Amino acid sequence: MPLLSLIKSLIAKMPGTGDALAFFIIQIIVQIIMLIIGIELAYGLLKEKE
Amino acid sequence: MEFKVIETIKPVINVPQGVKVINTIYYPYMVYHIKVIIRRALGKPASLQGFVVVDLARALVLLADSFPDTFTIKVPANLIIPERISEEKAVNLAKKKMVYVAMRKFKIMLPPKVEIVKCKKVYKQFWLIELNNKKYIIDSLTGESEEIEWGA
Amino acid sequence: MATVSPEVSTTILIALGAYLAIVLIVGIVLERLVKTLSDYILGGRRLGPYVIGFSERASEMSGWVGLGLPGEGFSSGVNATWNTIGCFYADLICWTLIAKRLRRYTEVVGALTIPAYLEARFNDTKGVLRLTAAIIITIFLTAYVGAQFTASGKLFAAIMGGGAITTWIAVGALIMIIYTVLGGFFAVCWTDYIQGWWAFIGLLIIAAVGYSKYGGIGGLFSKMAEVDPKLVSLNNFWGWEYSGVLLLVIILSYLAIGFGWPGNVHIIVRFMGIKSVRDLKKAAITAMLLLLVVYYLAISVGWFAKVEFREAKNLIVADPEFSLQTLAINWLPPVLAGMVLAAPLALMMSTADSQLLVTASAIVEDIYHRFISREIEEKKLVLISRIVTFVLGIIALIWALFFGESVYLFVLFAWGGLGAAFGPIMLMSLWWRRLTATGAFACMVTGATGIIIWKSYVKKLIFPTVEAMNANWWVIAILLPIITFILVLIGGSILEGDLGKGLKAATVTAVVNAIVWIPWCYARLVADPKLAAWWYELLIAFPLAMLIAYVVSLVTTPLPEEFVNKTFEYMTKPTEGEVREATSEKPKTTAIVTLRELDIVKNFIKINSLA
Repeated sequence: MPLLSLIKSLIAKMPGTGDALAFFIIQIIVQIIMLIIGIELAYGLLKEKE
Repeated sequence: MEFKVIETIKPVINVPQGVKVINTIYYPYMVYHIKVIIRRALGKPASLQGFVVVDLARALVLLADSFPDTFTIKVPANLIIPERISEEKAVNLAKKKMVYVAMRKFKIMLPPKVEIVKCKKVYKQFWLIELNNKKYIIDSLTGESEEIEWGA
Repeated sequence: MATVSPEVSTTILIALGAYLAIVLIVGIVLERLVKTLSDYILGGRRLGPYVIGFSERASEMSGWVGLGLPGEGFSSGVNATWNTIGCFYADLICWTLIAKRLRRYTEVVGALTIPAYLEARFNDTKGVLRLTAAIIITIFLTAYVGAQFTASGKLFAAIMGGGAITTWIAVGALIMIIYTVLGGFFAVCWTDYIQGWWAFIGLLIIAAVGYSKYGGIGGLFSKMAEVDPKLVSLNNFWGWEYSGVLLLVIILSYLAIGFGWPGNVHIIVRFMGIKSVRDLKKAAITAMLLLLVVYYLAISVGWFAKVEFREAKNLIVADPEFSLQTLAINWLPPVLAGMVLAAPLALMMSTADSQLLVTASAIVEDIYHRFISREIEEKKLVLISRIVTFVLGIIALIWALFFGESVYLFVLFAWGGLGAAFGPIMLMSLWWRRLTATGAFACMVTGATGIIIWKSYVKKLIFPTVEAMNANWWVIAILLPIITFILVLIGGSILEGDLGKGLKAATVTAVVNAIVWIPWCYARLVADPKLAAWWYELLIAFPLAMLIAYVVSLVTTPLPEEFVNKTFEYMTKPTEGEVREATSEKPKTTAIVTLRELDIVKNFIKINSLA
């Protein structure tokens, strides 16, 4: 996944230890994406206007 | 044919154009304005006011924003939906509802006093209409309608 | 062991006292300002969805956030974030799969509690489900409250710099019980909100100090690596390195924490109180974002503490769960420290308070009112609620003194029980039509019993020594099938109205439980004890309970088709309020809710041939 390696290389440039930091940042990003998708799917539009 | 004089809630929507109203059905409610007074250790008693509506046909208790506008009308008794609970029971349900609500808003230590400020029995109109050879019921307040299948 | 000097203690206590006094005063003032009622049932329309989302998160946070999570951060380093991962997806599932349907349905049937919801959903006129649910809630929620007492006890012990933990637990318990019972001084919702903010700000302050001191996330991680490379290792949990199957089990166990989410009734019940679906969306976003922020902040508090103090023995009462407190006392002036310390206490109090009230209402509404006395005067109702709340508080205290262990594990027990018993049903009842009352019953019973048996074993109630336990593992193993068999036989027969069917359900339950539980007990007790220590019970109890719900439903009588259709219609069709919102039409007169009266009118017309 190109996005993943992009993020990974960005993180590698930051001071700190690669794997742990990457793990931390990636999980945050993934969860936010999940949140956006989940909310849109469940609450996206109000259907059935009677 | 027996007639009764009742208070009916003013309809919000108008009967649709070109439509024949076969009958109007009257749905009973009791509306209460209730005040709950909660005695407290610190300071003056707190009071909570609200409007409770008891659906007399389904024995359901609901909360409302205010008293509805009504007008008096004389209608055939057979068009009134029968009540499933007595007025005495209804008032108890309403009082209990208010107390529950108060309990969730305040933490109550001593039993509160419940006062009925005002109560009124009102009826909501449901119109039975015919349109394009189909029959519908329309709720006069919300406009919600449903087709009724005759011959069922 | 680091202790707090008497002068600092006093200042902190004063600050704590001041904080509580402020909350009290603000609460009273705000309450005076709010004159009329206005649909203030379970949260309040006037408050708005953001506040509801926030106060919900605040009530849920509790001692877990102030003590448990920092402790995890201290001990496991970066892997403590698995806690967040394990919770977030579950929160998302609840908001997306449960909230909307549950809210719509309970609005129609008028259910205010989970037991009441179950009774309506399964047309359980005999009230078996309702009673069982209320009992299970009582057992586990009081344990949860007990965990709050333990947390507060530890907090006091830390501030006062000594003394037996049990004494402080009792002190904390007494304060909270009095706070809840005497209540009546201020509105519940407002104080939850204030306290939520307070806790949040408290965490932010510590985080701000910490991150600036160590130079942001990157700097912090570098420092952690320096202090102890294990902290930034993805294989390290609680100081040990793991790999292979064991590592997988550990990660799965963390993810299993999320299984408990749909079952935790005091959280789910809030969904019922939100006023509209549009509000649900805002509340959902708020709650979930807050979860991420707060959990990560709490965990990083543990990281700061580790980097700062290196070893647990340097922390107050030598307990990693005291990371936040130790940091506060060391980094902040005493007054501010006192206020930061007050934050977790505030959360504990508001959590304990709402849980006690939920449990009390389960007993009063779902047991007493439903089975003992249907015609109850308001006066009696209030008095009984007060007494019940007090008694429950005492029970919770007994739990706390009995368990006396880490807050983290204690919470996981209560969490597990509620999660295994109710989680599967909450999900399945809203999405699967074929779920039956007996299936739901068997599920609740299996889940709750499984967790209790396991905890009893761990607390050495069944066998006093580890050797005895491992030698007699099969006793533990058959306990579950036997107990569930008996319970489902009784409950199932009543629900099905037929002993034969009850027997069938009970047999199926026992067999499935035996097939899953026995090998698992063997694996856990005999094959690999290290695995045993790590495997979170919910990881097995939840799927097992779900399987039971599925299988037992298939062998028991389905609900009438029309009933099920109507039920799911209620769940999926937009309600009155939603349609009105969507089309921006507001009736000029009242907000009389007019759901499903059309059916009554239709019947009336048909019966009287008025068409």
